[in-house]
Amino acid sequence: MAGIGGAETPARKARWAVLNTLVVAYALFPVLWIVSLSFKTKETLADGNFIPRAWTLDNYAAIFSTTEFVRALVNSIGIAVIATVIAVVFGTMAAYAIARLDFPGKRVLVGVSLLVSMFPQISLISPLFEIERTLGLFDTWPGLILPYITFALPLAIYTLSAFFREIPWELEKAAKMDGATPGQAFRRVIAPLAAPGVFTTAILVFIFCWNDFLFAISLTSTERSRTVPVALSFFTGSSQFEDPTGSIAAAAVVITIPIVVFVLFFQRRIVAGLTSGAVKG
Amino acid sequence: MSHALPEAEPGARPAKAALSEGKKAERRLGLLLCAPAVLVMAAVAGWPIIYSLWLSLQRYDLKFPDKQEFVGLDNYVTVLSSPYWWNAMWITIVITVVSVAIELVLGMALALIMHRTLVGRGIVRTSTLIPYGIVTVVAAFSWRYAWTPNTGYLAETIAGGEPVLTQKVPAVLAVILAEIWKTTPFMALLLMAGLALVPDDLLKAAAVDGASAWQRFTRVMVPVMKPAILVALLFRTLDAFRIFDNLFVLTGGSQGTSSVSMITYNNLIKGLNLGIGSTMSVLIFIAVAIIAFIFIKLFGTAAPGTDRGGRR
Amino acid sequence: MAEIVLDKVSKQYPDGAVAVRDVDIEIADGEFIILVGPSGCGKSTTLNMIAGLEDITSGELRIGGERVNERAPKDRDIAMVFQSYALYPHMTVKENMAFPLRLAKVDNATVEKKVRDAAEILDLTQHLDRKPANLSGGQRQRVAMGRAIVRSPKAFLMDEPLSNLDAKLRVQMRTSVSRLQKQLGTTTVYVTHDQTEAMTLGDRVVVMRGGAVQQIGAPQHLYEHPANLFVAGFIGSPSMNFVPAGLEDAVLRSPLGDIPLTDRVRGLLAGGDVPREVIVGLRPEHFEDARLVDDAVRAHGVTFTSHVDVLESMGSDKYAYFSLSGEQATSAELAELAADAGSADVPGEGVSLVTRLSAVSTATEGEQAEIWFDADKVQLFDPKNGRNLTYSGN
Repeated sequence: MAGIGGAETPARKARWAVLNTLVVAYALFPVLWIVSLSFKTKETLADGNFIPRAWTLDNYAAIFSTTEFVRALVNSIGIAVIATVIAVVFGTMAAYAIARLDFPGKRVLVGVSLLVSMFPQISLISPLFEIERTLGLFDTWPGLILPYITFALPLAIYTLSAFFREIPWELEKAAKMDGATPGQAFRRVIAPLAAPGVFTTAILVFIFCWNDFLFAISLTSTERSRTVPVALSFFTGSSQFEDPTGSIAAAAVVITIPIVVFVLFFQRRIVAGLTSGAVKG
Repeated sequence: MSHALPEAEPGARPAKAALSEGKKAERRLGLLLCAPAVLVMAAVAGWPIIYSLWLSLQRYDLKFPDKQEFVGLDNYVTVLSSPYWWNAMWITIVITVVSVAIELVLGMALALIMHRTLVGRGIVRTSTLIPYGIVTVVAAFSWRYAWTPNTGYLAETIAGGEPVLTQKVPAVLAVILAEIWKTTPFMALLLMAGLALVPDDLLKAAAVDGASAWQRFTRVMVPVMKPAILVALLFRTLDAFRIFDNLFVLTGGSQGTSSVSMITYNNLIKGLNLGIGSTMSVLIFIAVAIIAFIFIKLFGTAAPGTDRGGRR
Repeated sequence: MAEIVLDKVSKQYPDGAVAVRDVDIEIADGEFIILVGPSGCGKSTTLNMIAGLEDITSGELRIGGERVNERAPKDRDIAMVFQSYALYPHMTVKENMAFPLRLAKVDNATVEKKVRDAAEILDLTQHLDRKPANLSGGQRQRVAMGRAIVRSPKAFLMDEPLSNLDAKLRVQMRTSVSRLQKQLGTTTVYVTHDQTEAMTLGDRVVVMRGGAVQQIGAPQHLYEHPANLFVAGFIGSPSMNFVPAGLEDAVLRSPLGDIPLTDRVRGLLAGGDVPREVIVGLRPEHFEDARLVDDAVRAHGVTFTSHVDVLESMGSDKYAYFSLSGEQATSAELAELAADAGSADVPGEGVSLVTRLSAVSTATEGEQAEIWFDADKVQLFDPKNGRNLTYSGN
């Protein structure tokens, strides 16, 4: 287990390969299963086989022909993107201030955002439900965007301030000595260095918003602002007598695609982002 | 050509105004930059929590909106004497304790694999991020169909065709399994960050001092990583306590498998009883506060961010 | 190019802490001046004030005759080399060096030429397209120098530019920095905590302590005529030996024996207010193996016999270490020097003494040796305020 160093002998490599295969199988099994379901034909859907006996794209064609799903997909993308942009902008501003500036109430802010991140979201459902109904925000995009920003902000602030702390700020001084105005120093030196951190944070925040179910199911009531996870749970199939399993599986696969893309391309960044906020460096 | 200077007398210069212009500008900028984040959090998290305290003291059922009145602690008496509430509390605690305990062990193993593997590090890390990133509802549906008789591979092979999700104990176990699958990678990543903080030399020194692999793990690695382990446990415990998505899809809270979040949702959105729902919200908030308090005060978990006040 | 004048410059932080107090330095055009002192002595703050990275609380800073207190760094036309090099990680070596020129809106052809020239001088031509992460420490250091020299500024400011290099490379770079400065003839202010760098590089050295200038002068002058105990202990390696002594009837009673005051010393003391308790300072090279000293010379000094604790043979010389019985010399300055050298908590009994003997000395570790020293070389310090009682000015 806690082996140290050691040579890369073939036997050792083989042992690791077996362990790694187990890990990969563990991680992918449920995902492959839902993918498999989504490609099964109506007839073979209930055969209990892990790999489809007969393949079809019918399930995908079916969900994309319903407004129920397409509208939910638009809602999901729109809401997640807007919430991500706002949360990252606000988070960047606050994180910069926390990492770089000295001002009263800094510790309070850090403490409060920690508190919010530990908050049981369900505790906000009842008051938000009532407040949003009063303000006319219930079942609208802003009605979901607002709580998403709120819960994404602590995540954004932590991750970003950890990233910002890593930036060698002496470079800002160097740029000033090289004749840069504060604006130039920011644009040409600091911004390019901060960009990867901001980007990573944006991915994490997007995943958070994309994932949410509790707010989405509590604060929406119609197709107008229902997101895909909620729409999934309301799927009844294209006709009343049809089993929705195939459609749900197909829709589930569709909303998993962005996650897979992020993970494949930005694995290193996501790991760095997730761990930076948690461990003090 | 040189000159020697005697020691200058100390404190010759009187202190200037308390804050220079630059310092003031810095403060102003700091507050300004934080303002949007603070306002949003105050408006969407701070105010509602106070409002829900108020609501919890009301009789307020949206089915009978005219009968709204102040009832003091009546709602608390109702909830705390309800067997459904206590059942949900027990279910939540069981799910939290069992899944977090198993996640810690599995997560540690996974972290060690990811940290030390000689081959395919990228593939392992990438694939473990899938459970973390995947939409919980999607994963929950995958598990639900896996346990559905006829349809699912698990129902046929493991459960022998029995309907797992409609019996209390097996259903809770299925929920725990889904929860573990989804969140172990996150635990592993947090632990891996802790592992990276254990210096290799320390392990070599322990090996030279005659410690076996297991002793190196328990006597050197774990104590050094303790802060990281506690933070990971705190995060995951609070997170598991809020369990909702998996339960909603897998059992829908039937057969007495509701968690506290689930029962609150049912009272609120399905039952439209704002008074009772808010009371439960407040109680959950208090429970979470107690958990955080136990971790931070009793176990000495360093809440992340607490000692990050320093500049640079 | 220009001269830099600090006129009673002070820096006080909002919390009241004074980092730099009434510093007066006149740096001539083309001069290479070193600010040296232990950490926290205010040398970096002084440099940052010259750079414009920190505000000046009071006093005036003039560059080329003009007051620049209020100017932003970019309007002072000075370049700086940082301890961490502060290379922009997202730019290649070429882009790093061209950056100040681009900001100054210099045309492309000139930028190209100036960068090439600088790269030529610093031997970086084949690395121009690499990123800083792919360079060795020495190469990074040269890029930082390159970025400073491309735009031919009025002055260079260097903040411990060599302290991140390993020992051997540091010595090498020291000579090339010195050569480069002579070649360019640009006024240079160089901050270091390493007295060897200070001694070898500078035309003049400014020794600072606790935010105040202790002494300014040529390296050799500081070495021979330190103004106070602090400068005496800080400059020179191994450090000057300090031994407490009582002054009685023109004789110093010390653990080294009775030291008669020579005419020169007596002359320097005359007129001053001399306390009865003093600290005697003696450089290691003023000692010699008594057997190698002929009788005529021997009469000018004092001879004592002691047990050799440790003997280090350096080839060209031998260092012999002794510990004599008696109280150690104590003063605030010495305590600070010990703390800075990290030797404050090294256990030691009595008075320890380092002597540099000729290579042909037969002193042996663990045995008694007879040691002579020149009584005319003693410097006497006041233990209360550290003042050099035998300071001769020039």
